[in-house]
Amino acid sequence: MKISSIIKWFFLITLLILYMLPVYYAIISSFKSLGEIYSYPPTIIPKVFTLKAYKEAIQGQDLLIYLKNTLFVAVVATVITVVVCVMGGYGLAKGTFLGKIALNTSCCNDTVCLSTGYHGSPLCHD
Amino acid sequence: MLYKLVKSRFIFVIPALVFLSLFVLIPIVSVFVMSFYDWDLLSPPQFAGIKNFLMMFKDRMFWNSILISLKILIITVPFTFFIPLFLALALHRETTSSKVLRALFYWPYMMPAVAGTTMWKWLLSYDTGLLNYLLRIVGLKPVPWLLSPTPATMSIVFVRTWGMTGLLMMMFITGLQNIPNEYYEAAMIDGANRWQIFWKITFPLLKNTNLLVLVTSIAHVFRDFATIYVLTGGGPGYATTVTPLYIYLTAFTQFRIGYAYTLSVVFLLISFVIAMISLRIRESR
Repeated sequence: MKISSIIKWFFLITLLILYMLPVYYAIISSFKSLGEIYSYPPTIIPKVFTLKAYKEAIQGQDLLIYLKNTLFVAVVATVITVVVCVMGGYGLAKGTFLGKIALNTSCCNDTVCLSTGYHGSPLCHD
Repeated sequence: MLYKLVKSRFIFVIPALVFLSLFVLIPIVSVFVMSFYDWDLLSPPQFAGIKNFLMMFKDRMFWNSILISLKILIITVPFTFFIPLFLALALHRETTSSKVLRALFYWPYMMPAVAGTTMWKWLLSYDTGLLNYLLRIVGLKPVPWLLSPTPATMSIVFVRTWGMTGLLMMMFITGLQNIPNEYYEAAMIDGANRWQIFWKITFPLLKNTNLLVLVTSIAHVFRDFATIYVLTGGGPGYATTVTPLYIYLTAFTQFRIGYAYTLSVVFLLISFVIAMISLRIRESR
């Protein structure tokens, strides 16, 4: 019981360090100066904290406009997806057209889901 | 007519059908049609009959790329199965620590694929990367992560697993939480140990989730383009040129659009066969 718990936490923490490495490095690099980012050896904790990159992103690169565009696309796509999918789902589940053919059998739903890649479909994008 | 549409509720399906045809069906059909044409994006397409298909059968690069795709698929799927399963088993209880850890492990999936892969490319760089720096500190020889065929393949497998773990872990957690607690209590009263409980109760009751995870990870890995394009660009040489990447190179560096359509059709058929096999397994259980 005790040993299995230690083994569990050992693997969890190893995986966590490995999985968070790029996330941590991205965050920490955003506080580095340009020279320090490209310097070798790489630093795990920045020598000098600077907010210059943030200033540059907001003032020089129109970051706020890009954020606005992203928000617009996300909101509109979500609304369209929900409306269209809810209507389509209701129609397929309760409809009486075409004699309730294979369209709503589970096999066919799987096939549709797979062939559209479950991910790439404009209708059911996650 | 209108009354019939409303009465049979077909009218509700029409918007979905319109989107599906516009963005899925029409492109797929046009790919099939265009695969019989020669086109270089500049001059108008010319009908070529089955020339493209004959060329495809003799294209050793293409068949090689399919082998590489299958190789990466076969190596990746065990990782994308067992790592999320382990995480789900460790983190499916609703405690504060497991909620925090779950959010952290889900993070890579939330990152845009290109951004996350770029970070890995940076960390895995041979001369200036952090990982090789750490290896040098410990006194080991630096590994050419992206510069030699086998490490490059393993790097792709790892980065792909890294990107998908969050999604698959959440699927497993949902599956685990759907198992009623009574089964565990009954097994505990009967004196089963944890190993027996896992293999006799948890694993059999997870079988639908297992198949969902397998099918999802196969679909994601097999048609993955962004990770490999950013991480190795198909290199070193053509050692990691998977089929989607080879199709992209044919279309947009050699400008053989018609031929790329032909390859896409063949790739679609192969994916279809794999999808059918996984569905058949799912039904036979």
